[in-house]
Amino acid sequence: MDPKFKIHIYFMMDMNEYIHLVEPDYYTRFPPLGLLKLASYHRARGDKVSLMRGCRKIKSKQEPSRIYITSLFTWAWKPVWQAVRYYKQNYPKAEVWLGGIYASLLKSHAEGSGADVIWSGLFPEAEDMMPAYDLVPNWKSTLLFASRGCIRRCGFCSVPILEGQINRVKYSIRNLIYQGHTKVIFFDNNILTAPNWREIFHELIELGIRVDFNQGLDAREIDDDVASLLSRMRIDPLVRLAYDYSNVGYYVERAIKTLKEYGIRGRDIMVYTLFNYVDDPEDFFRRVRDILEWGAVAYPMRYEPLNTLKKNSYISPRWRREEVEMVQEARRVLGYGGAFPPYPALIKKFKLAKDFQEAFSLREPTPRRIISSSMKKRIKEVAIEHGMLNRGV
Amino acid sequence: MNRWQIGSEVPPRVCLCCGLPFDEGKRKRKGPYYGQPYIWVCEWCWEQPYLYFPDKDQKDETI
Repeated sequence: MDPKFKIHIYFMMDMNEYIHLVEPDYYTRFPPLGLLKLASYHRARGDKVSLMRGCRKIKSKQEPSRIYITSLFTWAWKPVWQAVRYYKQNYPKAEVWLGGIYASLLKSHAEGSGADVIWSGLFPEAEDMMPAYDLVPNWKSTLLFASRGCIRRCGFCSVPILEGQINRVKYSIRNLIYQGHTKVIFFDNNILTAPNWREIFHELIELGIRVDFNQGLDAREIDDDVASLLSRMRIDPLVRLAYDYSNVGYYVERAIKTLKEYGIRGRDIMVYTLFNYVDDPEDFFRRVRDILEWGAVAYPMRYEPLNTLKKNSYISPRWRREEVEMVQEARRVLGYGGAFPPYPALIKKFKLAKDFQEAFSLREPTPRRIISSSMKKRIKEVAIEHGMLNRGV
Repeated sequence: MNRWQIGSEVPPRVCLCCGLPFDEGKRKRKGPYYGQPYIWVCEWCWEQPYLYFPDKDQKDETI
């Protein structure tokens, strides 16, 4: 039966149920936003809910009638399958629903997990509900989407497939901030191309709350107007941009320059730099060098295909494995927390290097690190978010 | 079904997985894979053991 049809039947039922929510045991820094919204949705129906991470015995004496399991990156499918099997085996009366990013991108693979229902995309009835943050009491930031989707069609990104064009636009987020939270984290994929960005920015300035545009801001959209409003916000930890292709270099340079003119320091601008995709090592080297010369922090991001089942396995035809490993090694040795901050010795190294090999070679003595403690703190926060420090990358 | 790839109304000339142009050799076009992230891919990408395609035996599918 079409799961969407099942929901309508479910709506018509008038009995309180026990719903169990599971986040599989993969690395993530954020609480499972979708599950927290589902928790609110079920509570609104009068159901009892519980949330658990990994495969563990449910504390309640009541058997759940339904178990929702979420998923994240496609390469983290094994803990998802383990969770499905564990709960199917131990709670055979419960209907197991599997959703989330992996389940949406690789639906036919996810079917092999044995879940009763594979859910693709958002759960519309729950999407606009306040997430049940009481289930994650140690978490102190509100996670938000002021818009979904993106106007771009980048081949490395799952957003055009999962969310399409800009949609579900909200013109105010004031009422979506959970009481007691001191920070708002936006997961919008491209907020500056959504029609509501100006209203949202003014509201954030008025609220004076700490803000993180976690998925980055589109450098092509940053002008005086945007930079002026950003400079009046409490950005925490830093402004994130991306320099994924060499042909957007002009816009990235202009964005960094404009942000600096409005008082945002270069060390507070982190530029994600995609590699191992359609670029080659020399193109990547030039982009990192550009970012350092423009005075911002370069954060290399290794491309992973959207259907990969194993992390860090894919090597683009334009790269060699040794070259990809050189980048990873240079991040550990030359960089800080996986990023290349614009400290003078590193700028000099990249400026004098004639090619990728010379820039990323570690044979020469490591440049002396001149990083302020606040810069270290910011880079460390972002590195932890990406799991770089935890995995010792 | 006439949408070959998101945002495109004609078959793509490059494999969106690796970014290289299709040819008649090892980058021969394979597909379509509707409901998958890449509708058309090249044979080289298809052959990578860790990349999932529904018509392929994945050896590493045990947990």
